[in-house]
Amino acid sequence: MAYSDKVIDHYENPRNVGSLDPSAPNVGTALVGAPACGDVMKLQIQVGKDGIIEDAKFKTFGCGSAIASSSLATEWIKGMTIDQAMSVKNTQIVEELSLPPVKIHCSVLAEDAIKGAIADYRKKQDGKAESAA
Amino acid sequence: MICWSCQKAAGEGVLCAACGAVQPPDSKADYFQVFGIPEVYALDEAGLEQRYKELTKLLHPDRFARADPRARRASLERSVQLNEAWRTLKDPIRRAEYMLLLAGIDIGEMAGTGRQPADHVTLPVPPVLLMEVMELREALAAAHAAKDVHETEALIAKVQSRLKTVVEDVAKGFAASPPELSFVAARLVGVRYYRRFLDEARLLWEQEGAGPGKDHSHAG
Repeated sequence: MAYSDKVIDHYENPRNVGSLDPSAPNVGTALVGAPACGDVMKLQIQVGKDGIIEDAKFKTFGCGSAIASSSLATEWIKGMTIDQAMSVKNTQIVEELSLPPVKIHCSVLAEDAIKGAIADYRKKQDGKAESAA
Repeated sequence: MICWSCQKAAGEGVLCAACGAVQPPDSKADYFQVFGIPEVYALDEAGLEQRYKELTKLLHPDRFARADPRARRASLERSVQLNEAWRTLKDPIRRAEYMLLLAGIDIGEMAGTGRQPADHVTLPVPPVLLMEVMELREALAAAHAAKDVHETEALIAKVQSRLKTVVEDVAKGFAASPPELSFVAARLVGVRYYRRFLDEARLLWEQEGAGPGKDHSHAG
């Protein structure tokens, strides 16, 4: 099966590979996996005071489509508000990368990772608000 | 079943009880039925292999080279079914996954085998497990970058022992009365991650110039 040019581009030049400090209060971290294929994906967001995602990093161990999906996801959500990022759909990733049906789960993984990172960030913020009260 | 050849009752076996003609397989038979053995996890592996060899011999294409086309076809279909059953039952992990599937529990591990759609899997994966797999993957990448063959081998050994523990737990779960299927399912969830890790690690290990040749046998 041939990968699309965009998948290959993200695979060969992945954007935003790396890690952010998971203990920082303004960093949200998600770790998601696909039991069917054994891929694992870590995605982190760093949110500014204005609620805008100022940085995003990922680390993915998986196939080219999984790497491309997470690379694209971080590229997209940088500069978005968390609400905007929350509305990113896996189908948009499928479309952008022209993923074939057997690779759709890779885009689902990326969407789950974005949502998971936001949930983690929000949990931290709620915790902070409670302890301040 | 009525034998296609002699029109008498063929019985349950591979060959017609009356005339000995090979019978087409029952497509609804599960893999245990294919072997004619009871559905238990702790099966006699040597006995299974013995039975597989007997059946393979019985169905060997050479025996049907000049046979009736119906017999040729039936023997071929039997062989396909037998090989699928063998591939699944001989492997302790595949066998466990299959038995869960028979019990109506799909842990997603059969995805891609054609029996289940390769859909997104919903059974939750414990975060601790994902964290461990992520750490293993990072350690593997670091070992590879440093061309540290020993570290790669140590990681392979570590994950192999993890898989061994899973197989032991799975056997215990099935041996319990009644079988603790949800425990078995929970233990099996991580297997694909470990296997995927081992595939990747062996590949890197070979690139590091240590292999191939030595057999790092794995659980499937």
